[in-house]
Amino acid sequence: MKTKKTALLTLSVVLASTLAACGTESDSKAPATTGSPSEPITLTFASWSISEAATKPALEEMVKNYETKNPNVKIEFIGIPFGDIKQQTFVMASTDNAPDIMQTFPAWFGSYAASDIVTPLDDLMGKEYVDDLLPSFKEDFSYDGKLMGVPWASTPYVLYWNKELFAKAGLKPEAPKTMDEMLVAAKALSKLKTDSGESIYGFGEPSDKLAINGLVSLRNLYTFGGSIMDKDGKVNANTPEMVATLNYYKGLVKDGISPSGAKLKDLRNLFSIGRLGMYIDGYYGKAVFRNLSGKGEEFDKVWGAGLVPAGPSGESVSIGEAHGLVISETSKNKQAAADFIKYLTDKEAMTIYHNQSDVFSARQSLSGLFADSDYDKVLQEQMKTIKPLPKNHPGMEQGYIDIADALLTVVTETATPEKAAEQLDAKLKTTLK
Amino acid sequence: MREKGLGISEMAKDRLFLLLLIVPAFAVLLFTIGIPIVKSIYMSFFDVTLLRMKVQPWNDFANYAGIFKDGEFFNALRVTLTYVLCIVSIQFVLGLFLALLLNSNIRFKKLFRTLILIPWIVPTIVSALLWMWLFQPQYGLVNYVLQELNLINAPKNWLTNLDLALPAVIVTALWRQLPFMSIMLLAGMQGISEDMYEAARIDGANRTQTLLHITLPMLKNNIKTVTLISIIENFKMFPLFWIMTGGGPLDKTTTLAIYSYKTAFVQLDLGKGAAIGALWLIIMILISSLYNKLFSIGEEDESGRGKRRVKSKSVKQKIAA
Repeated sequence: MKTKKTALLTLSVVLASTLAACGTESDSKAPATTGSPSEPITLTFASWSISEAATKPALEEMVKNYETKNPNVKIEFIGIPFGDIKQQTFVMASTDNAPDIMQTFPAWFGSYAASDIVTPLDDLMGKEYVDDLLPSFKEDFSYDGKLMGVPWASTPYVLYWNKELFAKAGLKPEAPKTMDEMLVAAKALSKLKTDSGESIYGFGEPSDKLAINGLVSLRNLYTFGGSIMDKDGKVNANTPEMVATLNYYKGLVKDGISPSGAKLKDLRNLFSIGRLGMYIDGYYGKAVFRNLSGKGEEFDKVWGAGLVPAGPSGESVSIGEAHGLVISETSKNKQAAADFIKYLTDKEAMTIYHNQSDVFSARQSLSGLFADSDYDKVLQEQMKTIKPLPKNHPGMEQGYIDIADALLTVVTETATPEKAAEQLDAKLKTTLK
Repeated sequence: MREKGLGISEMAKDRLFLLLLIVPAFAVLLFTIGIPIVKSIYMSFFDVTLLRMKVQPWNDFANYAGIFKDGEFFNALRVTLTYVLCIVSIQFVLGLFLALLLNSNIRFKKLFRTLILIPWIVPTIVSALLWMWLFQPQYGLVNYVLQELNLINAPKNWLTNLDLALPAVIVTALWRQLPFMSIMLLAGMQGISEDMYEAARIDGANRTQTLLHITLPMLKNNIKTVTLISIIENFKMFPLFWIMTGGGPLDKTTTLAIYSYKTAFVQLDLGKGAAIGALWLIIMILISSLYNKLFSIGEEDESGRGKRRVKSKSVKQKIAA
């Protein structure tokens, strides 16, 4: 009996002290959540860039600078790989554990924008900041007239061309300006062989099933003067422009100019090992080629950049890509998060980021900043010709996958471009209902 | 009262102790498997989307209706069954062949037994990435070797060709899973008494006869277990497909796992994703119980009779006692 009593007593003491400890803990935490500037604040930031070797140093430097200037703010990174971040942040949000700030990508930004896990940013960022954003990027990150994400690490898509292969094929040493010129050059390039007898592709377009490839193909659709939406914002993908775009993809593969069913990653690899004459990509070109070619900075001499070749309209058209920074609806420090995002997109942070990774700013006031090299100048020039992506929709990622499927349908000759456009139109009408 | 309590028989005490031992494991299983299954079946009747987790209304079986309407489910089921049938049967035949080889008197037997285990040690994700590079159309090793051997004249797009994608994934799965199959069969073969073979040899049986009448029948239970494990493992195979093809090209490799994942985490429709999972679970249970039935067809007479004999024996014993 005695032992039982002692045990009971011990148990109740333990329980009481645990409860008391819980009480004091929540008491001591309470003032921090009010977010007064003098109190220490920890902002959690879910990002894939922090888990990638190429961008990690720049991010760490930016955060270090910010923490020095704002000693009461601590930034805590949650590194999640690119492929998993959407799923993981949504699952985190479903249990009310969403990070304060999340890094998102255009192909799946629509899911965030239309969800109730992120907060509108117009008031948090302020009118002056919002008005300073380049219109196409502002539109890409808005939903229902509200800014839902801040464009960061922006880039246009530009043409990369291999100078050595151009010389070998006896072509003029300059980037082709129109689509016709580009196709002539591509045909000449695709007749070449490497020293070990492997085939060389003239020009590559990705047509694998990934959402990003559907998104990238809009650049071609825009070049042919089309869109997946009509003037009233309703889906209409069964248009002559869409057929022309699909025909273009079909021709590239049929004529042996482009590899079939390639990923952007494949094109980067092929370009870096001298087996692809031209292709179109974002800012990462330089860093990726240096790495993949195994030649480092030496490889910078091999390639050049040019504007996206102009289509029937005679104008070069590109699409923009940026990482949308969003703030969680449940964040207790929304204003602090917005202030940090302001820093990440201001002159100092963008200069650090540009110097290490060639990214551009989506703010008009900073648009003239980086024009040191010819490469910078091309990117800057192309920034001016960016057309916005289709308006955000929760089903847009699936929509891009549907478009990528249509590309694969025509390059594998499973259906004619006319039939593929018709099927795509029906699919998109369901997906983007 | 107290005395009665103490008077629990030794056997009951043992049982209680056993129960006590099993409770933690059972509780862990309940929490990690039981609750999620119940929760996901529950979710399959509601409109649950990760876009709006705060409201989850009942939606009159719309998730199930949607699945049967869009037809993707049947395509996914067909792909899954084709894949499972191909991989398990090829794996079994090759595994058996390999096991027979390793069970015979060849040189360096031990070295080979260790060597064939290597692919099994490699994680599935790593083997998927590895084979993705091997199958890469422009600079992959598979095309290079086949072209050097003049077996193909132009590079093949293994993972984006409508007819080649599924076979390419099957080859990868085979490479990864064959060691398990053959080692398990080999273990079974080593359990067969040498006397049986000796007797057969004395009776003048040839190799095929020994295989068909001794090795295979004696391996029956082994075969049943190992193929069932393989069926279940492949029925729910996700990483190979997700990494190598993502369900493409044009849904040619969209299995139930991929379909369910895409619905739940690309379209963020957890309700429909859970409904696919529920149907998938039912199909899996049906298939494995059918499979068990199929294997017990021959057994029924013998073991059934055997069991009855044992039963009647024990009844007789009881009566005698």
